Amino acid sequence: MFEAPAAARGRDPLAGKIPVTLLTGFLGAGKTTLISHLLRHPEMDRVAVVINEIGEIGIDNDLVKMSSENVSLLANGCLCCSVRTDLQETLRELFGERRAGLIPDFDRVIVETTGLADPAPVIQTLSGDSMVAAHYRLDGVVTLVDAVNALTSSLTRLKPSDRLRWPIGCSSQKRICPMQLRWSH
Amino acid sequence: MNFGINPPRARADQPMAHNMTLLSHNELQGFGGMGEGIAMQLADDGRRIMWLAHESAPKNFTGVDVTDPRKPRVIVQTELPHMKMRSNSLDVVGNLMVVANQVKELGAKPAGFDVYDISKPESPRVISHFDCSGPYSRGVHAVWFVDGKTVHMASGAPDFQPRNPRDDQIYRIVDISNPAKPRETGRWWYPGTREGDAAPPPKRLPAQFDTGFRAHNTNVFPQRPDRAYVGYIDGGAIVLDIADPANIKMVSHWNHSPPFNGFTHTVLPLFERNLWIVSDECVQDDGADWPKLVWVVDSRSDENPLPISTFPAPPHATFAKRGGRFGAHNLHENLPLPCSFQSDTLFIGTFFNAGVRVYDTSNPYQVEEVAYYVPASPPLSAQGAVQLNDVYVDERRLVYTVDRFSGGLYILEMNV
Repeated sequence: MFEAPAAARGRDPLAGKIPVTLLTGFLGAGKTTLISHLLRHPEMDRVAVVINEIGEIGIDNDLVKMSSENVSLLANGCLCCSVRTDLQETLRELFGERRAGLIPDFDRVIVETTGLADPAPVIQTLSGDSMVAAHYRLDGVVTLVDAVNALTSSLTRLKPSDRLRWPIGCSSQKRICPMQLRWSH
Repeated sequence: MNFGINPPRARADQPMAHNMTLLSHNELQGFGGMGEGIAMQLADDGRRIMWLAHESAPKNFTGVDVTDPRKPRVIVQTELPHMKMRSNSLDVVGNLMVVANQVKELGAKPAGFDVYDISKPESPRVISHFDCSGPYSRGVHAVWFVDGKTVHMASGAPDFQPRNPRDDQIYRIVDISNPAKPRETGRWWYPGTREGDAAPPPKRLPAQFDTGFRAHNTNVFPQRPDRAYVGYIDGGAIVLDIADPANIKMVSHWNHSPPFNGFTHTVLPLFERNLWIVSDECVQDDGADWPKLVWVVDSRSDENPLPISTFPAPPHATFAKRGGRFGAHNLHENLPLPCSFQSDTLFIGTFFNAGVRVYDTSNPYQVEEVAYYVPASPPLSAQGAVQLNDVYVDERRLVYTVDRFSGGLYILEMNV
């Protein structure tokens, strides 16, 4: 039951890093809707959600356990914080303030990108900053697509160089269709 | 930017965890004040028994079946003969256990160590007692017993009169190859600390930090059976040539104090890397003796051991005034035994109210903190915060750590 791992004497450099999921999608794809649904889930305990503006999510007061200017701790243990300067600084400070006991522990981060953002620079942030890279790792990019209008609007705006690879399975629920994408750059 | 929701002190009632998961917690039948003796026995029937020395009376030691780390179970808990003593330290090899006896008053007994047969873990049987009592002795504070035949220890002696009473516990070697008849084979003390020494007495630290020129951890490893790596408290880190126990010589010495505040606790050599990991012990509450650190020392030159980095300390603003002690103490010491985790790069230490922490020294110039667990303040803690005192890591990479006053045993999994 408790067999020693292969690298018993040392450390798996990836195992201890906090997984970060990037949530992307065009304007109106449903990112905010998805997050406001996620925030209400009991399974979101020990998850930090980094969003553009807390006010946009429309968190009910009865869901909020504690809050400060930039962070709301929800009753289910989910930590919701807004980006005030840039993501790099936000991730650094989240880790530092958690280590100092100023905010609750979290085991995963979900980052909402703006609807106009190319996720590539955000991915670059995770690997290019030594402090951020020491403590976080990219776990995946989830792109939301408006399933009704995607073929006539959103997808037509993609640059060929983005070379999206769609997954085999895509479960559609109303207008929200989460998809795993792989980026070539 | 400040994300702060809670003031730091408020978090003392909640655990803090990063890359460590609590598997179980056992308050040890209400006697959860534990010292700095943790050892694991692989019993003849296949069970894993964890042996724990208590920090203070009335209990002597406790045996816990940790075969299933999620369900630790106390199988035996023993009493001390009186309240003015403690065990504090123990070690186990096979079915032999050595337990220290330290007394509060000079001359009191029993002051020394006991050798136990623990082949039947539920009923430990005393084989012998090695007496170290005397008019200037408080007995034994810490033992190191890993080869099944030799006890290295910090101890007073009936015939040792220190110039300063704080310098009473010297380095002693005792042969227990016949467990029924322990026999001293060697001893060493810091030059100038014994009454009658030709050397002048050492210069003491300022009164508020003067904790003595005496031995604490006295580690000897099979890679270098001719060397003892000794934390000599205010005397710093000392390496002794013990090839001839009757004629022990100091071969290397490094001391950061002054200007630091003394109390070198552990010197852990990394033979293949030519490094020492050296830990201090914090001995004052509320950060009064801060900083107490863990150091990485380049040991290529016996004549010139050189500190090259320190482990990143837990945040001072969070812990210094949280309650009780804050700073370094015990490390998992790579015991050369089958149930002990051994690593040249990964080190696990206890930091009192800052919990248990894991460090990666792959780059010795830039040590990384990769995991920590700070338990919530135990229910009966007078300190207002946990005081993790000692740690042991088994070969399954499970971490066993104990509270100094009331919390008992915490078993954790590392995710690194």
